[in-house]
Amino acid sequence: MNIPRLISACLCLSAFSWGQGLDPKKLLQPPTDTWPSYNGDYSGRRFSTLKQINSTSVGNMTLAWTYRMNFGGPAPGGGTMKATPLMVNGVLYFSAPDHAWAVDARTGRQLWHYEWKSKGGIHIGSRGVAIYRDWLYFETPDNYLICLNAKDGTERWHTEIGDVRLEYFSTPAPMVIGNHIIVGTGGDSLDVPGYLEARDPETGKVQWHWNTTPRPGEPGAETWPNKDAMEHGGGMTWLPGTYDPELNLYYLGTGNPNPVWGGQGRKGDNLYTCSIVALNPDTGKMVWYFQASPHDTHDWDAIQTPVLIDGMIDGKPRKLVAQASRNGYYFLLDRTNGKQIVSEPFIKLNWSKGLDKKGQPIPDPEKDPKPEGILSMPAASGGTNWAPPSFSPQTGLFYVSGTENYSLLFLTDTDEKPEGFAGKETNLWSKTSVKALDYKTGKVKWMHEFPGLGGGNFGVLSTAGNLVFTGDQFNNFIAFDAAAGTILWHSRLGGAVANGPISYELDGKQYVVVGGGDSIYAFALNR
Amino acid sequence: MQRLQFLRLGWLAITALPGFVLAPAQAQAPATVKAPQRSPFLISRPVPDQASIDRGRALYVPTCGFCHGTNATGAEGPDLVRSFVALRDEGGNEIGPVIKAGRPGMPAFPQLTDDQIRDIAAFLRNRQQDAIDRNAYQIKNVNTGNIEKGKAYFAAHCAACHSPEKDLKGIGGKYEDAVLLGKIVYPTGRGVTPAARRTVTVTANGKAISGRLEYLDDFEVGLKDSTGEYHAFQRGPTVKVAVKDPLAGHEKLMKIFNDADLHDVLAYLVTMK
Repeated sequence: MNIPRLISACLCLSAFSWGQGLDPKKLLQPPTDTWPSYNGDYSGRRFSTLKQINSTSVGNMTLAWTYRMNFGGPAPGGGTMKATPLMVNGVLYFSAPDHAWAVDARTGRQLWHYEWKSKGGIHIGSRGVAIYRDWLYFETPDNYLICLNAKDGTERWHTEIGDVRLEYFSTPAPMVIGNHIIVGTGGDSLDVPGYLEARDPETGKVQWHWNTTPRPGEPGAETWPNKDAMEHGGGMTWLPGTYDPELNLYYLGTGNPNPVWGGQGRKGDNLYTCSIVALNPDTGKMVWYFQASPHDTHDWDAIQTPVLIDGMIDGKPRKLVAQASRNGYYFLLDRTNGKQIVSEPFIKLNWSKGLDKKGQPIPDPEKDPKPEGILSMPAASGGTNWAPPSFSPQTGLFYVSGTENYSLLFLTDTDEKPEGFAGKETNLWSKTSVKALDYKTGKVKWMHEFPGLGGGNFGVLSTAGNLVFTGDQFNNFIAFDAAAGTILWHSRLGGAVANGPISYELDGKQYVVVGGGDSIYAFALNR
Repeated sequence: MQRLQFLRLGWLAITALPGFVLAPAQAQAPATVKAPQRSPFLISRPVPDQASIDRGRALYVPTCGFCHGTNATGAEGPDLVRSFVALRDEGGNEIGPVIKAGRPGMPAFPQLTDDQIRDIAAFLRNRQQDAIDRNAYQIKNVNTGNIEKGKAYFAAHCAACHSPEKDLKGIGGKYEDAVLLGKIVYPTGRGVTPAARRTVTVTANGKAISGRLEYLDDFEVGLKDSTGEYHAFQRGPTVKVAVKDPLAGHEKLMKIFNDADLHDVLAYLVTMK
């Protein structure tokens, strides 16, 4: 009985200093005085229980500090703040391609900066770092997992997790579960197979390796025409997943199959691409899957956060997982077994002929990219994209930054065995909104459409203060009433919201922190 | 099957020789040929020299093409565009030993020099970069519709705003077909006339002002009046904003267009030279 008290006493003490390690137990708690993992906690809800800043007080919220990412030279990949920062013991930790920083969470003062000398790879973004006790972990475009000392940013070790020469490049924030550092990788230029790995936090050595596509003779191989297609079938692991400690299952959305827009050489459903999968994090063994887009030919990966919801369906408590998927569907599944409960479009789409027996959308082959071009809705960028959604258990609403968009998709590689992207796209029109979906049905409870045209995909945070924070395409950072959808507050940043906002409490003060353009902005109440 | 494979390998071993003989002639090609323009965002490895690519192709096609495909995308033998060995290669260091020593099911080519192998490696890297560099992909023929059907569709859905004799005169010669196809759905970008721009009337403090819409979000509206002066207003309950969008018709059509209609209209517009 005294042990938990002792632990909480230690935590209180550590809150008064910075640069100390993370107690792994923090990963299992709702984020208040820490934001210790990509989504704040394992559920992926991005819901803060803090309510000092609330629908009444938010009008008094003002800028506390800003920090502009200091690369010490040219900024790779446009220098946009796409990472969700972690906050542990008063320090924010975050990354950009080849770079990591520690910044004082009270003032925005830089504590240290680490730079990796890159061998190449596509520098498109880094979603953030992971922390395990005193150690930070982040991935680079040339596919190194780097372990840093959280205290001073010195390198402890680095290890290769993918071969940049094969066109892999890594964007995810690693995820810590027990003594596993779970790492994914990306790369869609040249038909490489996707995988997920667990690495040892002390040494970086491989604990297990899970291929997102089967090898000949394995389950799922029947959904590919041949060995070559499945071994070059893509299915990247671009983002970290979510975790249910009771079921000991790790939930992950997988990437789209390759070649991206040319499906003629990979006839079949192409498992386990574009799927929500449940893996045992100790073994890497898959327990169940649900395929969001069987035989995708539109670049609609299903990597969007699988959000864990403990809800009620037909009067019974259920363990659920929800995803607003890039293909425009909202899915609600039973997370114990992957059985579908809801598949409901949350934007207009023109590619699906209904649902199969498992509740998976049936693609319309007429909407496969063709040499002469087809009108695709949504466009390849999707009804939503990688930016994180949020779920509030208070309102029962699932908040997602949604885009209605149209594009023309041309198949350029008409060979029976195409390669790479195999097609081209012309984006034509897009309109952005934030939508609040009833988690039980996927129906829109409220939505706010931003004026004018322009696509975008902005991370979302919801809080117990009845607030939803997200961005628009005009660089505004906006607070909505979570229940009603009305705008309560906004601030125009120096760039569009590019990451998922977070919230934490320090010295009795609640902060809301967001990345906009190349900077971080921290807001708090001014009285 | 075994016999057939043997015969083909035998054939390949013989054809390998002419490739070798040809090589010195190809080496005379001018060294000043420019390397292809590549997208720096997508291509992070060195782009091979064009003369080396050309020499490599001349060697590769007769020497390796029968088994690996003339485009290196595979035939009887493996695809070399997405082969891990060929992708890991730098200047022949990985493929060289395989070419010189052979493999089970693949003959050896010990006569190829290091320079020739470097050229083959350049050719393969170029093929890989062709597949990787999606910005450089070429769109095929998109003008596949029916002119008469397009004319009828145009008369029914487009003629209220557009005329082949007036605003669309010569449209068929103005753009590439793929670009025009996009503009039928929603005209943005190059060549869009001022007539397509949104205008706005803002009423504030009992005064109305109209002009070209410059900026509109949930909080502010900005416009330029006929003299070019910029006016901005904070939005609120007392500020009325009325936007006129000449492209609203496209937004309506966009939702009902099917791909056949779209291509029929394209076929018709292309006739307006």
